[in-house]
Amino acid sequence: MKKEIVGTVVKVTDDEIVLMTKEGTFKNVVRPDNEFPLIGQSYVAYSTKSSVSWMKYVSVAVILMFSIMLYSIFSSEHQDPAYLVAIDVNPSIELELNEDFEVIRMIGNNDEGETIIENLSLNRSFSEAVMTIHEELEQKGYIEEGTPFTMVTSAVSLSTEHEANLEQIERDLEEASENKQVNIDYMHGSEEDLSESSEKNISLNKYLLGKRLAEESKVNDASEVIGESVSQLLDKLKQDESNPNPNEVQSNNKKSSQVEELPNQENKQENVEKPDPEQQQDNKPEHENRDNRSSTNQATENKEEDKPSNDQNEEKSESGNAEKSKAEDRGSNVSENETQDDSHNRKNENENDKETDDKERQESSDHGEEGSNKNHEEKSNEDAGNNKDQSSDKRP
Amino acid sequence: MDTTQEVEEILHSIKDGDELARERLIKYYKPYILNVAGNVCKRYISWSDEEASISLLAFNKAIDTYKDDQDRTFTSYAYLIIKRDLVDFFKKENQRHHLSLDVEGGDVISREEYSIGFYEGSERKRDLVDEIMDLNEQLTKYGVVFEELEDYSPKHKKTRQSLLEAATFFVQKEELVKELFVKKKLPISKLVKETSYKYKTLEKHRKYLVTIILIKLHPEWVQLQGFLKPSNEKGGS
Repeated sequence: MKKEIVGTVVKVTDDEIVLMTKEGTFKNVVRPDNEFPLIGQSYVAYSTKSSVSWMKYVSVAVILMFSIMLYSIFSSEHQDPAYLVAIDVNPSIELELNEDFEVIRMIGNNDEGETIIENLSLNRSFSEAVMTIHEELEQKGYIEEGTPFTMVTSAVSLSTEHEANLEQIERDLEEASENKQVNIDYMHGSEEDLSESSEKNISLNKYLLGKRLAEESKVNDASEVIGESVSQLLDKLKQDESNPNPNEVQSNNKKSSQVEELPNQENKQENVEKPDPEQQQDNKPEHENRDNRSSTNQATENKEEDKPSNDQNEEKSESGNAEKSKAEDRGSNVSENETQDDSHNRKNENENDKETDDKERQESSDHGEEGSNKNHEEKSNEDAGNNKDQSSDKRP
Repeated sequence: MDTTQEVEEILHSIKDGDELARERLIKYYKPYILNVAGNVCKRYISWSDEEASISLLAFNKAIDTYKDDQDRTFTSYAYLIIKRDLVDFFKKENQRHHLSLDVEGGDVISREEYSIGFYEGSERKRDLVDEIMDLNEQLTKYGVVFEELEDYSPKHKKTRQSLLEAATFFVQKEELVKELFVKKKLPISKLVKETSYKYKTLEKHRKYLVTIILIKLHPEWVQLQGFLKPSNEKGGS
């Protein structure tokens, strides 16, 4: 855009021509190399100065636009995430949220998760994102409309100042999942959980579920859950919560459960029923006693102290002897079960007998460890004594 | 040296032997001499260039050979002489940066004579170059050069209009004009007191205001007056 300047030459310098325009104002224009007008001549110049200033504005505008673009890029992608929300249905997704609960980053933890986040857009609120996830889950056929499903969700605050706001995420999640047949299993995690889970290379949800299982002594360590799927872990947790009655669990597990698992499981059932700290203490030695005779002796001494429950102990040991006649090595399981069931029902004993029969067959080759098995017997008697104490307490 | 007649009078006195007048006349036309040299050479010539000396000598020769009965002004005559001498110089020196004219010097002059005659126009009584030289000389006294006037020039029509009005008012006030002549400085504060113009505006355009006041104070610069014609004002005062 060149502007034409017409004027009378009043001065010519090395690089400029000074023009007096017909309006009576003065203009300096650049002198072309091959031109040298005479003073007093009329001269037409094409203003380069105005185009320079025009360029100036354009460049300023371009710089402004560029910086705005940069700012928007930085503000969306490089914003510090404040929360991490991991969602597992089977598609496994992780969402990073900023302070305003807007999604600033999405990660698909598996292929299914990747397909879900394909159609999710950034910079939207968390609840909007959850609603879209629901739609995607239905569209992609991961869940059927009207069929209940479980959504395992865990939220971690990535900085201590936002910890109090984790409830907001749960509220958003529930709000967004209204009218959906969804059972939300919501967990709070800490930053340590997050770092631990990434260290062990398992997803946050799995890790937190594993942690819960570990707390309930179903697994020894949270990292044991690596091989299992989230839904399997969830089933494990649910089994326990939904079936607090040990008998049912026993009958459920009767055929499938392993012999080694039995004592553990029963202990847990006892824990559910009778959260007696003393008993819990006793449970621990039981594991140890399998290999440790000296502690068994100690346990025997303890047993002698429990004199008020002696008659029941006798009753118990009688039945224990009866069992022994079938197999000496049945050990603690039977007697323990008996004691437990003593106050409940006898029917269970028959089932236990069946189990022990199975066991017998398995363990018939292990007779060499008779001594230690005997120890178990003593120990179980002692346990039974304790149980009796409790049951006698319950009596009027 | 305000009118063509004055120039002719000075030329007469020079011919009569007034060397001081010659010096004054040369000094007065120095910017023009350089301008013509640059125009002929198509490049900027400074006083340290050989072309400048040749032009100066040619100009001096023009003073002696100019005849006032000629149909052209002194400046256009001086231009022809300077140009011819420079072309001769280029031919002799066979320099590169000479004009790409293969014709003889005499032909050049006849062609230039024609073009300048055309350029002057019959109705122009005064030479614009003389007026510009006059203005330049006057402005130098007030510390103003043409190059810097762009920065002092008004950008908007309204500003230009009010500055013209201020200048018109100024030249009518004898004391203000006197002060300008004596102190060689524009008495802006006094002007502001007697008018409603803003000090800031006048200060911003101070050198431009001086220029148009000087033009208005020289009604004999007929062609320059033409530049100061506002829509509702006649040139001159």
